[in-house]
Amino acid sequence: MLWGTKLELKQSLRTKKFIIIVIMMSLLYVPALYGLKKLIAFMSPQNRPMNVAMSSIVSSMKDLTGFFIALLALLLGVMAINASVRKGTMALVMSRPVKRRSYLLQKFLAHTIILTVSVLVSAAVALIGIRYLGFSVRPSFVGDVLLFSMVILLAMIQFLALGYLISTLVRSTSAAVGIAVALFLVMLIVVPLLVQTTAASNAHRLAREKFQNGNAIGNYTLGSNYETYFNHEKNRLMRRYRTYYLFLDPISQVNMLVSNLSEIVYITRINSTFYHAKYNSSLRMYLPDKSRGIVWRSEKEFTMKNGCPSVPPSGLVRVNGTAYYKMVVESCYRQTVYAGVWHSIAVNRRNLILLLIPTFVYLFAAVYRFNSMDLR
Amino acid sequence: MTAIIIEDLKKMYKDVKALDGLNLNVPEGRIYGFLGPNGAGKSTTIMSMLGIVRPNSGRIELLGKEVFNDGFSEGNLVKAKERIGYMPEHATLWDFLTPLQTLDIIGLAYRIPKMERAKRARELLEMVDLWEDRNRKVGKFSKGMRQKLLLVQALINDPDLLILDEPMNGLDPKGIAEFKEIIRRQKDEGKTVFFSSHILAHVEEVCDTVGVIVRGKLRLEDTIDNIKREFLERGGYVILVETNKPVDFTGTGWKVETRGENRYVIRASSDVRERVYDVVSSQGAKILQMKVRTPSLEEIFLKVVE
Repeated sequence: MLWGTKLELKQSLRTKKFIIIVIMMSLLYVPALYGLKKLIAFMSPQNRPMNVAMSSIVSSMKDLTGFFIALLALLLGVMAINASVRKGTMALVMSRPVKRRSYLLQKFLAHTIILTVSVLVSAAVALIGIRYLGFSVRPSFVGDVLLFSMVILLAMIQFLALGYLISTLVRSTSAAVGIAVALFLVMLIVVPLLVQTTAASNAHRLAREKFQNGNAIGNYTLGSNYETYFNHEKNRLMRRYRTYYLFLDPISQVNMLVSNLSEIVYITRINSTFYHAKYNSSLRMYLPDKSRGIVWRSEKEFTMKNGCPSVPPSGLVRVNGTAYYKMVVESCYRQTVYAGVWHSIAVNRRNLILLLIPTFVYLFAAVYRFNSMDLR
Repeated sequence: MTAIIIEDLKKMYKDVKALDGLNLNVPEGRIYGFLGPNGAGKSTTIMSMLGIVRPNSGRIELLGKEVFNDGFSEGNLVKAKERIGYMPEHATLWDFLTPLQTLDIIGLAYRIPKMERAKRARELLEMVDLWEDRNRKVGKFSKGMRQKLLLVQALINDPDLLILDEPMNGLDPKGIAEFKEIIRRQKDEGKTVFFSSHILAHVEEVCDTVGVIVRGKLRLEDTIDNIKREFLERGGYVILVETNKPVDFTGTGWKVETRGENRYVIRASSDVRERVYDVVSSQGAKILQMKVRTPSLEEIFLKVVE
């Protein structure tokens, strides 16, 4: 019957805490929408691609907005237990026929509901805003925004759980808030900054090794100069470090989860018909993946131009009696297409797990601690 | 059945011993006064029974259910709490709820149906004259009003065992009278009431059994009549005498204190007024004034605490 949940929701409604959080969260994407408005001033009204809208929403998480949701959820959790113990209402609650463990989880559920509602409201505001800016909002886009909101919700729930843990460990509310803010600074600002610096210095080292005396050593195709190579390596290392070192920073994980909104599609062809390509590691070449159907069929016999290198005769190989061109996929048949949030989450599912595990650990520790606490 | 059994209960707060092997026995249908000076462990005992405070060791049985035996049995505790009403010491309620909302949400914890919750809330609020204020926020209430609401919230589930922590704090004389009436009504219905206090006058009138806790240990547990009788027998009979000239009381076997000029306080184990008269007149003195003071529970209490 979840009495603890009902009690908490009722209290949050009466104290206006609920509505304040919803209003604050509804303003979440307003800066992003304003930025988007400035951006589309340069676009024609006919051509407003959805991925522009999506990426402006997603990129808003990279800066202050991410810190905002973190602090909001953390502060909501940090006073959940100790404040009512201090005030004495906890004694009033715990004298009822309710188990301690269940009560904590019921209360946590109530806070999760509040956060869910506020996240959904913020998503609705984003969708209405994007529509107002002249984009045509298709169902798939609504789905993407909702999915992204769920990722944000998971991050907020992790902060909430951390807040609960602090709330059961520190009896004084002001001390708990202080500790939460300090943790926030260390976890979300200091450590990511250190990791970023490490990634940059390691990328510099790699770039220096590659471009000694300004000349590339060995066969290098990714970037033609130091700058490009450095940036590429820095991004690659940063992605790695986000998973290996910043697993306690939910904002980093959120950024990772939406870092592959675009997908690189490889295309190969048989004569004038183009198929999605799949890499065959034993042949070390891309073969058509016919199960995914035809991408495009040319009216005329296809000839390579527009800077694509023509297929050399040696590139023709036979597999099961069929002739294929060995494509130089990197330079010619690599296309970047918008693949959506679901694709990005699927690619980075490791980070989804990293987003979930600390939540359970914090919550378990909070329940354990709450169970042995003197609530006076 | 015994309503409350506590055996060898121990509780430490960091390095402070709050309960030091407390034993307690409250038979069903009694009004039990739990006395002790501030900081003796009254609230800790009560909160331990309800699982709000986690004791270190010992055993607690409530309404025939073993709720604690060196560790809480949450299932039994929940079952026992279904039939317990508790009034906390500090007038803590949700400031932003009205009395009706407060009783409604608390009634929900006992899964009382909605209609019945409303009916019960009305009965209880009328009982303590709060029905007029049913839609005012509790935050705007006076201490006395909060105290009354705290009392009736403990009665919402019609408990078999009512545990009250310093219930008469902040009540005016009329409130105290009402409160005592409510407690007596509980007793008439065969319910058990356990309440703590440090004001003896309150306990003396309503309770039939008293327990005195000092530094985490029960020092005394008996009916009030028994306690008084025993106290008198141990030299608790006090006579104040004022004479016109000094009198020597040596050889009488009484404990005599001199208070000011020719004023004496005599402690004896029985009414010795006639013998005092004899002693005084045998020394050629006259009694100007003689008063017998029956010991109040207060004195007994202070004596025990010492």
